[in-house]
Amino acid sequence: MRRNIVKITMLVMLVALCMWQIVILWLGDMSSHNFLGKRGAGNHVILVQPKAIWVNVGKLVYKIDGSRNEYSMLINEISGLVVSGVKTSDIEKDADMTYEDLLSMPGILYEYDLELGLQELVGSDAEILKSDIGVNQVFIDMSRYNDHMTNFYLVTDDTRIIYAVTLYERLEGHQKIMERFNNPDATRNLVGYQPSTTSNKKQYIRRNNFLPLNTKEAPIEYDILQVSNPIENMSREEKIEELEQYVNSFFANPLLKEIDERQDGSIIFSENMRAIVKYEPRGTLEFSITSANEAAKLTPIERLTKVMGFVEACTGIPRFLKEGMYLSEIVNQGEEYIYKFDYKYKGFTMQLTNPVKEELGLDHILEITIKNNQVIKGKWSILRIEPKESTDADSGDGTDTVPRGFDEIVDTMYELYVPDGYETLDAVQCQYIMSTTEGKMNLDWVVQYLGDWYYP
Amino acid sequence: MKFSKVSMVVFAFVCFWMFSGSLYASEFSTTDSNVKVEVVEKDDKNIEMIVSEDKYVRITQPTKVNTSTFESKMNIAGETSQGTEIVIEVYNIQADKDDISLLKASKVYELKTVGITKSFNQLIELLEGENKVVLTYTNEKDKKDKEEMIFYIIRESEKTKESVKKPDSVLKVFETIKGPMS
Repeated sequence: MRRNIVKITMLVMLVALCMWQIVILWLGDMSSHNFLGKRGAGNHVILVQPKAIWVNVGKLVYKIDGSRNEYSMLINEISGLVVSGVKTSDIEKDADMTYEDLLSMPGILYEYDLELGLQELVGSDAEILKSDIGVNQVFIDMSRYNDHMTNFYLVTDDTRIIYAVTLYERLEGHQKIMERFNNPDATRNLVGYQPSTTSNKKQYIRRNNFLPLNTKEAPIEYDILQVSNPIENMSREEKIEELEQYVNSFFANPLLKEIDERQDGSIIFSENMRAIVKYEPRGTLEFSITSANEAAKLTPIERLTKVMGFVEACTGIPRFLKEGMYLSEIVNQGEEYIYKFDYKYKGFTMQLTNPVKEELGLDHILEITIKNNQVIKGKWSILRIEPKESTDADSGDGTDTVPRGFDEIVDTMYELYVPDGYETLDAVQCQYIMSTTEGKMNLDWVVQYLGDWYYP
Repeated sequence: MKFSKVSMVVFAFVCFWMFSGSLYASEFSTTDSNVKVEVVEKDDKNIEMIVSEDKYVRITQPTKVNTSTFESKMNIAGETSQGTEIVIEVYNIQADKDDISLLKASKVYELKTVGITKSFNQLIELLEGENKVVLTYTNEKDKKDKEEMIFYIIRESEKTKESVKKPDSVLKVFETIKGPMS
């Protein structure tokens, strides 16, 4: 009897050990896995991805082009800190601090493409965070970092107004990132950036741009991308089958939907005229829902939550697009709000040229419209964007380098387009340029001048 | 007598051990620098810059004749006349320590001819130790023929970085690079 008890105890212990080992092998540890759905300090979710996160270590700035996980870790950490510790009354205008001063300090900068409220930035509807401040950049000052204090700054779109916030808590994840980027071995092969605001090009570029230092000796190497519409190469049956996977989630009863194939190649899926989804062979998917009658006024964060919830749930938006997209603009037209998203690949943003915009009928890669409390319209590209295969003789190993530096680009602009030299350029950036809906996509310089884009 | 001899030898050894680094570094004297630091007022701010003897070339980054950094790369930024051709050579004492008399540039950078905005940028690689930067500029129109600017960038070792690391690590590292913050 006693022997049996010992045996059973040992067996239970071995089973428990096995379970523990499986958990460790699969998950690493359990610290980041919240099985009970409880949150730590304050409720928040990531609603808006920044366009870029920059690390300023000294004289050069580096971009975190890493995985979405790294972005999520950083955003979660700072959002958690804000949600648990900030009241709008803590936010004070710092009249002495200039944007140039900020960029002279070691720290981590979150750059967004538009101005957002604090609630939207940290993904929390806490009343205490309600304010009229529109924030375009968040700078975490890592110069005075110690165990008990974090200084961070909220920067408005024109970078003229800077708000300072001090919290008495530490950001360990941010500190680890700083330490990693302070290691010369870790940054040796990374592209270093020069903020235009602190550079000798300051007087030629109106807004701050992080200018990549591209040289003959250390050129920026990038993946050549391939744009294609794989659906158009399919047979009719395959095409319908593939598109049904995209569109079925829009219908209450997908089996009853009607399919109308037009002569121009477009296919319309509809259900009692309540929901219509249209595929266009040039590579777009568009939908509209006709029953947006519920009159309800949503707050900006409620609208954003609805839109992001829709994007996440929508099976018609390609996964790669969801992972690389970031919010670029919100346009208000009467009761409608249009949320426009752009796309980035490995940290480099992508721009559609005007002919491609016209061809696709899109200004941005993804546009979602919300009215009252319902997402009513949307249109996006379903073109596949992937690294080009290295079989082509002209593309070598599927990578290429950027041939010119920003000095040459700014000089070219001033020689060709700004003869009097009075006007400044709006933006100078290195971006993927989508100039075709079928073919190669390269990384090169784009310049915005008097509102128009140039490809010098 | 014997004791004093021994103590002298020990003292010499201690001195050699303690100051060998400085003796070694002094082989690469910074006295051959031929540039000046000037303070210029721009946008209501006093900005330091390194200028050549003839004031033809102004370096806005770095801004000191001897700059310390922990970074392995630095952007050399400056201003000069349009049409100027610039070559930057970087000599590193540690890389060339086997034969100081036959110093070879560890890196040579030939820049694009300076354009209409009259400014230039070049990312240079720094090796640990003292990096002597020789910037040669030529402009036929202005009769500048291979004039030189010499300044130094010292890339501090990882050991030094570790020693200043804690507490307030980032600030200390940053202050070493940029000077105390206000």
